[in-house]
Amino acid sequence: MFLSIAWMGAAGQDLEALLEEQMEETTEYTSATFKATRVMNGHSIERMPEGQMDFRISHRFGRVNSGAYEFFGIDQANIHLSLEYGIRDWLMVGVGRGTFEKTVDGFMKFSLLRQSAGARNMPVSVSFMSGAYVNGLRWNDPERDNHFYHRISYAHQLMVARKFSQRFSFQLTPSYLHRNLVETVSDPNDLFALGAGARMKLTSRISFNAEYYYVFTPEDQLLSAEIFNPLAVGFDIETGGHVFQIILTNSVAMRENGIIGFTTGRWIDGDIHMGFNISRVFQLK
Amino acid sequence: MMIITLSLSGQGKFLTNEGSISFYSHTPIEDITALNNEVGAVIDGEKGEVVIIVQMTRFQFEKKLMQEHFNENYVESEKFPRATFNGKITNHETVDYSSKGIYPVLVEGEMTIHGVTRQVSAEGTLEVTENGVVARTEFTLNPEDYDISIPRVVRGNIAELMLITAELSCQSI
Repeated sequence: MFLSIAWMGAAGQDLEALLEEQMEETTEYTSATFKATRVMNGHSIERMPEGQMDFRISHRFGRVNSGAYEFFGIDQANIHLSLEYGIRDWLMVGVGRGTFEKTVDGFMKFSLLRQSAGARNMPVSVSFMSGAYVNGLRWNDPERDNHFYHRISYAHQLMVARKFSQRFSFQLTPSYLHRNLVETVSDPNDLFALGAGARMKLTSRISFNAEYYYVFTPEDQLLSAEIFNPLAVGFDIETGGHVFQIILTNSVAMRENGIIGFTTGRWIDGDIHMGFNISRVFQLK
Repeated sequence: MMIITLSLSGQGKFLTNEGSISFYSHTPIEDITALNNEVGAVIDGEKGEVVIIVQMTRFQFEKKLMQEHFNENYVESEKFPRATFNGKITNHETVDYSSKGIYPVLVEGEMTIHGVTRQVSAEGTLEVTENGVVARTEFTLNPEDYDISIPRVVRGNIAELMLITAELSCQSI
């Protein structure tokens, strides 16, 4: 009698245990390590999913310290427009046009590893990005032997990110930048940088993001313009199909060639640009 | 005693880990559907007990971005990876598991979604087939009941009530 009562009471649990046993262990892939394909200025490990088109409008105003006459930078506008598309869930491409050096750019980014838990355990997500940037400015020295390839620079970035918790993600971004043509002979054609990006979720739709690149400037080579390490802080605000990124940064450029290679502003001097990225996603198939 | 118990429990149980549950939200602006084909369910034919386990990340949406929002902002799948139902077929004595046919059933029990447990009931049918049973049901669910809040900006895109449709083809074990 006693036994049968015990058996009755445990029945629900037994049934659940039985089901548990039958259900195969699944692999849970981490999603939304970052909310957008950019941490702030630079790339995040995220890609556009297959069949989705992202129309991005990025905007940086002038320097805040330019004073009231320039309306604290708002009178000046730098824009970068781009169309970006997910060919596969692991592969995205994008093209864009920006005010900075009248750049036309293209890039591809693909996923190498995805952070996961369960049947398959992977501690980090890894993506790789390659971009090419074509300077569209008129030649500053038309007398020189100018070639089209002089206009081009390339960036390659490896992104390694981990979503530590639902609220916190962190990314390291070793980067390599090559410029076919630089300002003077004393400027390096190649630059290496190590980027770090973080996302801290404040509410389910708002997060605080920060991004920093340490640029390894070769000591034996003089740079014609003094460049500083780019730092950007801001917020991701998500509303359905849009992600707004509100940014404070010392970099006016919005692509890797300019961010890493030509950030001439300095935070402590107040060379800060307000800016935003708007991402609008369309489902194409 | 142990042996008898085991042999008893082996009788009249039906199980699947490929059941399907979908939900549908209709508004004049947008229709949203998502389908999960990896639902685990077990029905005890003797006692009429039912256990269902739904892995939230397995809901497939047409728009991937929506799927991400669903998991990240609405049901918070990392925190609450599963929805479960644990209940009973209240009129289970009317079901004859040995003769094929469709039997109307009423199911009552505890449903847990987003960490919130509620007492629920739904009508459905149980079809006895050659090698198992197929449980079907359709009911509506209000996300607010499970503390899933919908922000005002998308209020017009998401229906107040979700239509849930389930089809669980369980094999006899």
